[in-house]
Amino acid sequence: MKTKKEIDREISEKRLESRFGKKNSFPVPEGYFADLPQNIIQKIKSEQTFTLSFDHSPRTQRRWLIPAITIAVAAFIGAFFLFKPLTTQVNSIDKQVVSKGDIQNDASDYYYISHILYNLPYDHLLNAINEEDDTYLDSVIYSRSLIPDGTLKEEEVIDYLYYHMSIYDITQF
Amino acid sequence: MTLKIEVVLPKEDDKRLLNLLAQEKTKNYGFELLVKTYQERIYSIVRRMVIRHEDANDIVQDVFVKVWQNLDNFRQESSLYTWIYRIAVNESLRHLKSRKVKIFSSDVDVQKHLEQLIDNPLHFNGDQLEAKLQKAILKLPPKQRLVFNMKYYEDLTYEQMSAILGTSVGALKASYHLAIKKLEHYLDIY
Repeated sequence: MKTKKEIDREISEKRLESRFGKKNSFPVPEGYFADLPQNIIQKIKSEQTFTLSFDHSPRTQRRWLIPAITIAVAAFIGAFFLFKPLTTQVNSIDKQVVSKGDIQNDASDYYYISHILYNLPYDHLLNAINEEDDTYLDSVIYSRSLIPDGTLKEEEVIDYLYYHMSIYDITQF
Repeated sequence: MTLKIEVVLPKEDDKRLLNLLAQEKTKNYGFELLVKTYQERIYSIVRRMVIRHEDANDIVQDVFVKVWQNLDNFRQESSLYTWIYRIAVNESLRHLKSRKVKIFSSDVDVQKHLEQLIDNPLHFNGDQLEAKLQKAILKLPPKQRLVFNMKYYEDLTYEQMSAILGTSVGALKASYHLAIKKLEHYLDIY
């Protein structure tokens, strides 16, 4: 049996459909789909040929590669031994500072975010289902479910959207 | 020629295709069959997002090239259709984002540009009412537009959409409901 929400959504959809239809009016060139598989296969082949032609290029064209790679490897090894003691020292200091700071920040951030989410008014939930980031609602719902006495469930959010949403709210997104 | 789409999710076809793709001898034939099976549905969802045929063609070709390149990595945790659809969705959104960055300064500029294409019979040949609906749909943010098109035009279930987009069914229902309410408002129908 259909719920009230489903019926409501269907009515809106039917209204839209009866007025505007569901026709696909985007013209496609004649024979496009007949040719598409071959065009795609050609594209794959040409990309493979490009890769192969580089791999099998004549030795004369690749002679510069050997000295270039040798110089690059030598430079890398030299730089590694030259800067190693300094880098290690800096890293060890960074790690000490960062680890203490991170633990504190994580704990306070988590508390702060949880607090905000828990106290988020319903109006803000409307904004949550937003244009660029519809995963935000997921994160709100998920975060609230982590809080033991959090009462807001996904269904409640949806219910709210169905029965309390005004056109004013919608246009504010 | 105008596109007609029949939405049937072919699970049995998936098995057959995967068998063909798994063997070196039949791999090429299997891939051609795969393209033929999914090309119209994939094209349809991409075309509705980018409007121009030339852009849709580029994206669809890229989608299937990626499918070919990553066939060995496909783990069959999702259906073949879901996997291909997900690549198409990501490529379409990436295309719109890159247009925004490279050519236009905002989503509004991209939307205006796409609205102009609707007025050009080369890109859209529907009547005035259909054009009005398309322009209203273009006012929706890209992800919401995608959700609306998948449900309204492609008749996908929320569960299928959830598998493709990685978003919960509840959030998709809310997003679709919101899209319809916005369209009713834009089009002034109650």
